Amino acid sequence: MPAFELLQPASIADALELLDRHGPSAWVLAGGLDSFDWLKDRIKRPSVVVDLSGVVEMKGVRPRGEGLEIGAMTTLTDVVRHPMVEQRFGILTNAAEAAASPQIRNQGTIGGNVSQDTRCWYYRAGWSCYRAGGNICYADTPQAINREHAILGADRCVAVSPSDTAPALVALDAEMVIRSKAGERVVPAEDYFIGPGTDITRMTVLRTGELLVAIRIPGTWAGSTFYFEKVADRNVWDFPLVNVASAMVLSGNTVQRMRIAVNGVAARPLRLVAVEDAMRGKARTDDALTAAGELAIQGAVPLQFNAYKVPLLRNLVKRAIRGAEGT
Amino acid sequence: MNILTWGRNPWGEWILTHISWGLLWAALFAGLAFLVAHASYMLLSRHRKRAAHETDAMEAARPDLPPRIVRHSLAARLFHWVMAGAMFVLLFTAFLPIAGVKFAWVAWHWMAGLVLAASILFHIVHATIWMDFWSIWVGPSDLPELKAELMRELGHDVAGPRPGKYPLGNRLYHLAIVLAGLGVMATGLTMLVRVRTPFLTRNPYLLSDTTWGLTYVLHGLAGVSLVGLVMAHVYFAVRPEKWWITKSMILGWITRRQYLEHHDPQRWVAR
Amino acid sequence: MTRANHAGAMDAKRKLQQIAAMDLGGSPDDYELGGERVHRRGSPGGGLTYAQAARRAIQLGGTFDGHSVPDDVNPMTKTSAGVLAGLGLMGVAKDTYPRDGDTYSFVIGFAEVEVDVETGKVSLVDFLSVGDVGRVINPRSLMAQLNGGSCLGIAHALCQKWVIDPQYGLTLARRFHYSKPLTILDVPVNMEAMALDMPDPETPVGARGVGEPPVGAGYGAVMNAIADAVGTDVFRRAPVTADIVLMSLEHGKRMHDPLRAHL
Repeated sequence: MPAFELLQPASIADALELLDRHGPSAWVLAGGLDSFDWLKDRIKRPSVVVDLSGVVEMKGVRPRGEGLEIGAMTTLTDVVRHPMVEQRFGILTNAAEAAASPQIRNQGTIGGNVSQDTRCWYYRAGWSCYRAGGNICYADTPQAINREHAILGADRCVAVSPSDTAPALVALDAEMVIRSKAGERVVPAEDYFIGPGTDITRMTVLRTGELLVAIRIPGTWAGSTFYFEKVADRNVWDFPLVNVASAMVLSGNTVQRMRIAVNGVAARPLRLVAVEDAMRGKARTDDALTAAGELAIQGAVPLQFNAYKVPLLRNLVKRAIRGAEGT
Repeated sequence: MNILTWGRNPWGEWILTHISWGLLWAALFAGLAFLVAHASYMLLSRHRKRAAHETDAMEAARPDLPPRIVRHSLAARLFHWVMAGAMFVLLFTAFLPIAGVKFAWVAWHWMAGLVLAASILFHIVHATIWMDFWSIWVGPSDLPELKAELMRELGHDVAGPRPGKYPLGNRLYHLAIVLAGLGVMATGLTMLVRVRTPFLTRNPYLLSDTTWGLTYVLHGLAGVSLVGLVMAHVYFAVRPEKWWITKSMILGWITRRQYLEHHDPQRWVAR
Repeated sequence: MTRANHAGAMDAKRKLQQIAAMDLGGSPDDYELGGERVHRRGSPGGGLTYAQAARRAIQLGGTFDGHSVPDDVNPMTKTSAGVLAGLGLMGVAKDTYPRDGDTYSFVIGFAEVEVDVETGKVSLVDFLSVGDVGRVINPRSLMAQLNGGSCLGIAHALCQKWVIDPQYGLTLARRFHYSKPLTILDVPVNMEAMALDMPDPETPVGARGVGEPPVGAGYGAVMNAIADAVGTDVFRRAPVTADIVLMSLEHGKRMHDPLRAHL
């Protein structure tokens, strides 16, 4: 690893002070599972690394009103095992447990999992693409390895968001609590993630000097019918090809209201508002499911090797509405 | 300040990628400086137009001239404003993101670029066939006009040639715009293969990394030049002593008196 | 390999016996091996330890520690022996046992898969490998090789591959785990291995080698199982990932370049 100055604040205030002082030269280290890939490959060489592992106030799951607040530094294993999460927000348990591997979950944090950088082969290999500040995308070419890339929302960059917890949090109407030295702002999960049209070099709205300190989950979808599925090449320690998370309030076979979000198909997790609107008040008939699937893939633009994501997205959306009992 | 930005290709070789964005600020600054300098100077300058008594005499001698002289046909005006609109969209979509205003600009940029390219091609055909092709260019024969106009600037009412339809300043500006415009258009059209469009398969590997670097640099140099050129053009268009010309680009005509005051009727034969 | 190993081991045994006879009297045939010692028949606690005998071999040099090797060994063996000479007691010999034809080891794989036709994902539900590898001498080691080799083959069928950019020719899977080797959750919990335990008549102890055949068995069995599940026209490449299966099922024909493996 290239040399850097390691700073280990013990509180959020200290961390923000350090980030403010060092500005763009500071790299925020949570569990390190994303960071160390960059650092060990010597592609990113920050001069200062701010390690949050000692910031106890950013860890833990606590009740908040009708819902929960989860500290951003809570490990994925702690999220998976927490009874409060499993009892009422089981979709997050499933999503967090689908991420990576047990060893990674023991160290990786939920804040890191939602904020993680994309896994595009070319970007991760340090090639000078748009996302890295260059002026080319190596993946969007006729022969490139773009099997894992986006079918929706591409704007020069075709990379996808690889997080498993992100769509679950979007489906739960979660909010992200961001703090900087200037103060605090709360951003709905849907708006926390940005696409290349907005800023091609970032995956989230976090600006220099800002920290994601907590994730708030309202009680809105507690106890609803949840569905989470992740399709990947292997059964553990793999990023999703496509994943889906849905929360439905049902009466009989009719959907009163629902939230559904997918990831792995665009640079950010997509909340499928058109599908939600179409299914509101409708029964989960085969025709309704088929129509929902078709709505989800509207506007999809496949690359040379990722056209399978179109039927995969369509089928996963159908399954997410059909629910586990429908299979 | 750096003019060029270099990057590394996947094999680790250094290649040109694009101009330094500092050139944008340099162009804006240079444009602004020119505006300030010119406006200050204009406080001292004299009008170069023909003296009132001389104009009266000419007007009396030419009863055949209509009160309104056609300066720009409808086709010419439409072309101008379509191109101007496209140019503004291009400049804003190009440079606002660099200045920090982030939005999805690429599609707007190449669509406006195609509009610009189409309008330029229209103009080349239209001006060559339907307009006086040679009247826009500059050559050694324009030196007498240059000298005469300079003398008039200093307040001497000399006898030398007055401008034809297009004054010398106009024509020099047009030359600069031709170079910058064709440069940005040619490079821009090539760059269409680098983005997703409905009519081309995106293939950045069509040309080598080095060729692309040069293309991007030329596109950028032409682009920032256009920033300065457009600033100057808009400035002149709103200047009070040139407002009558701007109106003619909207309405299509100038008055008979303006025609006689500012132009040589032998060089620009009004119909 | 077993025959050559046997020949080398017999040579080492002879040298151990010779050293014991030299130092402790008697003829080499009076000595036998056991409990990591070379000792007189009937006195298992006596004699020399292997370590002691090896130290003696180094002192004696010559044929005992590999400085001098028989003329009939393969030139490559001679070179290897030369590199290791003087490090201990060396057994080196050529396989001159009689041969009545060639024998091979075989491994057969049996696989059962489940293909999710809505996602294209292939899951391995059950797997058995059976080895015809001669007499089983070390069951734990053999089953590990059969299971482990099968896993490698299964990985090649399901998920593992190189990732190389065709334009620049550079490898993109720069870390081992990026090439997606098999994980424990990709094979069935009740995966099993067996061996026929039929002694090979062509080797002195009836054992053969096992080595690489389980890889082919694992790979072939899984590929055949997938073909049995969704039809033989669904894929012509490996690994058979969800995208391959789903595109073929969706479009009714293969949508990928054929005859690619590992990429």
